[in-house]
Amino acid sequence: MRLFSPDDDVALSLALKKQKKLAWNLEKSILWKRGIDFSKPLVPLDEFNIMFPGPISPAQKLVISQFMGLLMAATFSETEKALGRLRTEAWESLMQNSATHPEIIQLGEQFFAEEDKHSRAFDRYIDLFAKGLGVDSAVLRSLLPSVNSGWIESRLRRNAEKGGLILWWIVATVEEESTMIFRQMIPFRKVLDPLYYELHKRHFEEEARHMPYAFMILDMCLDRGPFCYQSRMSLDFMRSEWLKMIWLAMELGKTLRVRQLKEIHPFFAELSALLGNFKMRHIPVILYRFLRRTPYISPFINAQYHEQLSQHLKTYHCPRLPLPSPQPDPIGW
Amino acid sequence: MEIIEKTLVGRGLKTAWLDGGKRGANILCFLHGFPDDAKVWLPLMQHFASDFRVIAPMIRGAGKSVSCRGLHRFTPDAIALDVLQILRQVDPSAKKNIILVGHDLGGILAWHIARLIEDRLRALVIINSADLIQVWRRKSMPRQILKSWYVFIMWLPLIPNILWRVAPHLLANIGYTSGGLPQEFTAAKRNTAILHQSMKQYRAFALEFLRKRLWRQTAALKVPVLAIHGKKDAFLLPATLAEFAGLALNIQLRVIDGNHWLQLEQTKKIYQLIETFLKDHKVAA
Repeated sequence: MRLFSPDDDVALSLALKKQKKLAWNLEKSILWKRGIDFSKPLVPLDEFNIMFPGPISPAQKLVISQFMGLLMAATFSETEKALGRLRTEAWESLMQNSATHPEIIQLGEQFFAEEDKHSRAFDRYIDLFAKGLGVDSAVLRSLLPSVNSGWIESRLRRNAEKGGLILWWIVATVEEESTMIFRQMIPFRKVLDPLYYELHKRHFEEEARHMPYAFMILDMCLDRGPFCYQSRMSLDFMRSEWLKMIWLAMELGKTLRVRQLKEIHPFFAELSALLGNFKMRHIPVILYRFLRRTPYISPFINAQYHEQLSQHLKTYHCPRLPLPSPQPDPIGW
Repeated sequence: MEIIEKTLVGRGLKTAWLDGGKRGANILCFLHGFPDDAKVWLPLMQHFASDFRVIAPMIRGAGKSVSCRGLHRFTPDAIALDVLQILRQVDPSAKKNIILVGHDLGGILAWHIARLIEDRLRALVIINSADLIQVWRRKSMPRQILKSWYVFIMWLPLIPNILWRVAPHLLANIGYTSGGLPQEFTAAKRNTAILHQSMKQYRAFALEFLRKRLWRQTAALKVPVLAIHGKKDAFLLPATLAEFAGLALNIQLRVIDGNHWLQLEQTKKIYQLIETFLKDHKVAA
């Protein structure tokens, strides 16, 4: 990945022009009219169904895939929304104290505008899915991750107010993961729901263009601050790992609510039945799988999945949690 | 285009400046800092000479600008009056617009003069410098205090005078080398007479600052301001946008990879930045 250098005003200016020129339109660039094909999966799965031992029927596999797709859509949407809510603390004050060229600020404005657009696109998909199931969107969202001005967001806000970088480490992780996810989807594009695939494709296009921004912000802060600031900030990555794991545990726990919804729609009934399979795994095994092998979840927690992130951690000597090295299972359908 | 040194006698003292460029065009006025003279602007002046009238005053004690005893002709107001006299000589009708470009102490002067002639001013460009209010705001920044070690020495009575007389070349070279002045210019800057004179500016500026409490907020400038800083400036920390709060309504900050004498080290880059800035703000020649 070619990173932005905060010192190269010419390259920043070119990047800004390119981003503005190629930005897609939420209404016109995605064929929302085609609707969701509920007979198709949203994401390919690991072939061995490591989280759900025992025989899995094709219908159950479809439900798992669709639910995973919704989990991811909600995760992207919510983190991007939270980023927008924390803009003043995490970005504006940073720009006042660190921006070295006006293009850095303009790229940031473009970045936030695009993230807002992405979150609305993913939200729209979730709403369409709920509508297709014939349930209220709020019912479906009660199972999905959210960052609703709760403890996590207040923690991020306090850190950002002190000039911390937890949020930007999380953004960098999510950016890199989103491009990784799309690349995993490409070989299976013909079997996946076309609307979901198109959504991720559009998401990927802009993420690939503006992903260097998060890394540039990290460079600006970690490269330039006084030594005591750098030392303090180098611990923020580890703090971000803790927060991500706590948030993931809290939000995945919402899935248990599906038992109360099984009467509403067969989709929920199927998911509820699958929980029994899930419970066949021991908790240490579940944790181990989450940290090391589970598609879409392990890359969110484990930085070793991500090349650029790992490189940044090495460059700035940022300590990280001693997580096991990735051992991703092959993805298929 | 030819740039020549001219003089006038203003308020009893001869004042000199470099003058050239396009007659009848708007005026680009370059203000040098310590321990330079106006020749530090020559490469940049050559770039702009085809489009603007370019002038660069020699601050009191530099070039043919005669010095004097005491500090009264080295205060910001006194030097501003000298510059205004030059501007009146260059443009007697006072119809031409002015763009001020200041470096180092010349940047402080440029901020000061900008507030006096805001009706004629079209843009302000500051290179490796800061307004006195910014300097005041940095008083609690240990890294800036360390970088400004030489300022504290110059405020001492007698000692700097003795040092300049005993080892002027040594001190000058320490300054030029640590400031990253390109080698080809270092040899030319052996005129150490200017060092003693321009040192008076530091004292005069500091006394005036304290006497008139110049850190009190003045109205923000409405003209567009371009501030360019070298990332590796040995004497000044790069500015931040937050520092300009209350100083200017329209500020563009650029921090580029360079040392203290950016206009010599990266003349072409500085020219491009200023030219683009003036075009973006429709400041025509």
